Amino acid sequence: MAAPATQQIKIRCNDEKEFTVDRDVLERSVLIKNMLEDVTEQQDAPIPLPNVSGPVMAKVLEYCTHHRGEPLPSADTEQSQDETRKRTTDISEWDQKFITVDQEMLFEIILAANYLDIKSLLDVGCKTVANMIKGKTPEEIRKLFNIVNDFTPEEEAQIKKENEWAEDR
Amino acid sequence: MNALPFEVLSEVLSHIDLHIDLVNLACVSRSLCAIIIPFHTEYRVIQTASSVPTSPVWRHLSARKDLAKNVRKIYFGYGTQRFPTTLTSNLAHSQSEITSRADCALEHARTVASALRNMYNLTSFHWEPHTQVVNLEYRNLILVALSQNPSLKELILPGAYSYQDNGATSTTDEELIWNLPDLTTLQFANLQSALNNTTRSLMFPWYSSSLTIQSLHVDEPTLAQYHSTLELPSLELLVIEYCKLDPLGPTGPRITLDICQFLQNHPSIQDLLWAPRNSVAFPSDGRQDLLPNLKTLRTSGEFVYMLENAHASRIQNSRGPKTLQLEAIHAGLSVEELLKLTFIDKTTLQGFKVTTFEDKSSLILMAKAFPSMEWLLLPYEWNRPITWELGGPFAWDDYIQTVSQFPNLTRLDGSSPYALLNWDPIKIQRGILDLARLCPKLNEMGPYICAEPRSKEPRVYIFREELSTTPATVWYEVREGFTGRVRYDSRDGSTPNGNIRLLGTPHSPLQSKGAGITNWFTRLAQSGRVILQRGR
Repeated sequence: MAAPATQQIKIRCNDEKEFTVDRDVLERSVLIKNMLEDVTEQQDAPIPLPNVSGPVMAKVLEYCTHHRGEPLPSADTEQSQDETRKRTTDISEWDQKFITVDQEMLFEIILAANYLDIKSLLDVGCKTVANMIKGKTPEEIRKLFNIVNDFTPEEEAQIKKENEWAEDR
Repeated sequence: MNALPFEVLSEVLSHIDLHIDLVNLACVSRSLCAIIIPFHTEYRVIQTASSVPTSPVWRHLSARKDLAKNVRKIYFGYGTQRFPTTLTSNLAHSQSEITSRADCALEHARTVASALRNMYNLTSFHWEPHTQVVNLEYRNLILVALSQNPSLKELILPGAYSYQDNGATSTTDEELIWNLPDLTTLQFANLQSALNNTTRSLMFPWYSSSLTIQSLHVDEPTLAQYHSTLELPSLELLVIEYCKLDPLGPTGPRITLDICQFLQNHPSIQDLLWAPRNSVAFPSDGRQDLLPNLKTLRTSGEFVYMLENAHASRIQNSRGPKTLQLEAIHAGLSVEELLKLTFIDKTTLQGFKVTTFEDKSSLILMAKAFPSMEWLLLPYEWNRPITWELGGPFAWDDYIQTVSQFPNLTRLDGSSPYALLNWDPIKIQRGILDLARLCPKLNEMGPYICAEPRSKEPRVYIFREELSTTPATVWYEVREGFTGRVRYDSRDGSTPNGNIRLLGTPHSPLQSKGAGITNWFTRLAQSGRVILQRGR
């Protein structure tokens, strides 16, 4: 007997770009999974995703397709989700290559992962940003992320001084 | 990055481990600072003076999971108090600990345990009991909470909190099933004779195996008890502490034998500190090398001869350790005895703590026999252990001539040079220059060999600015910092150089760091850099 055909789901992004995707791939997103579970009848109308653009969704779907079939983090408690994320300490080689994008796209992916509730993708994005920050001076971080310095030199020195205590820990 | 919502930014921050990185990010802008300082840096490390903390902050942390999850390191019983001061509006203003009646202690323990359960990013827990008596129930409630924290990497329980134990068991003991899959460092030692075998088995986290443990600090009876079932294939550092024997437990030689079996089953060990008081034969079947990866050995003369005998029986590898430090617990090992040892490869031994020698010529022979020697600790009296309080007959000229025979010497430990020059700062400055000239690679001198890898004892660092046609400029600085043992520091992400603090600079004025030699060393610092010789 032939295996049942995978259900195809349509989604529409905020730039009207539409995708038709296997249901199990889309269900990497807890947001979409819950939406699909709430809808009992088959609907032809695409699911609107007003917070994600087409190019970003294409990247997100690339990630979801690669990781389809992997166990999802337990949704029981905040703690169990956090534990699952902590255990995967480093970014895998594929994920590393996947997330090597320009900074604007990186932040768009992170925001999309947060909105769509894809914990593992959010984790990859956040770890990447954290790794970009590590070992840099405040000025280097400002330059990297194009952030305007709104501290006076005295204020900056004061923050450093007040938080000096734990540096030898 | 400023556009990231609070919860996403918090997620990014949770992946930044080092305090310095967090502070640097906080200095970037006001908006980042407003999140990082109150929610993260304030909560990362909690330190209490008391070994049985009762502060209201624990109630706060037990109620605020969102803040408790930012706690990474906890130190109970470590001097200065360090509690979060931000986002604590639901607390009484006082940060001091409440003096409680004994019957409140359990209530406090439940609160602390509840807070600990919320700390699911906690990586280090240190519990130093000092002389404070820790109630058995209190201890168990804390340990039960910790035992189920899978993020824990470092668990330091020096063990004296069993004072009130007296062999009793409690209901919570039965619930103690350890689930610490990522633990790399465990200190579980000095359990005192009051702890019977049953209680020890309930408390000891591993009586089977752990793939992740790299560093274990344990007492002799506990290790002996579990030697046959313990499998720690990643173990690199092993510290075995002497412990008064349990009157009902195994006897001394039996314990030594069991521990030898454990050593034989753990070829990954690189650094061993164990000074057994009994000498036994290694229980080898001769099929495997004994401690083939050993790099540093701090031990007693008894153990050295056990290794020597094992080598003679062809069960010991031929290379031996790279550094050998002999603790003068029982009879030390004289230079003459060292020269006769066959299990040590003379070309690779890099360090030796000399306790006794019969004749100065033996030291010259040692210099010739061990050409790779990089660090030494020398006594300044003939035939006597190092005791820097006493004056000795070792003349300065003899001393520097002897030391200069070691061509690769980079580190010279012990108080001998300072004692030989009568602790006179002017003479010592000249003395350091003498040593710097005669030992071209010497760059570090300290009063002690630091037993603790993270010790902050001050040390003299020698610098040279070599110019091809003129004499070198030579200067020294006195700094406090971690010495030598770099690999420990890599585990917590810090580097030795990053933590060395220069004493005597305008930014870090001379501080009184305690009594005796440390104070004296601080005085030697003067204004930071002391030029001994100027090149032209």
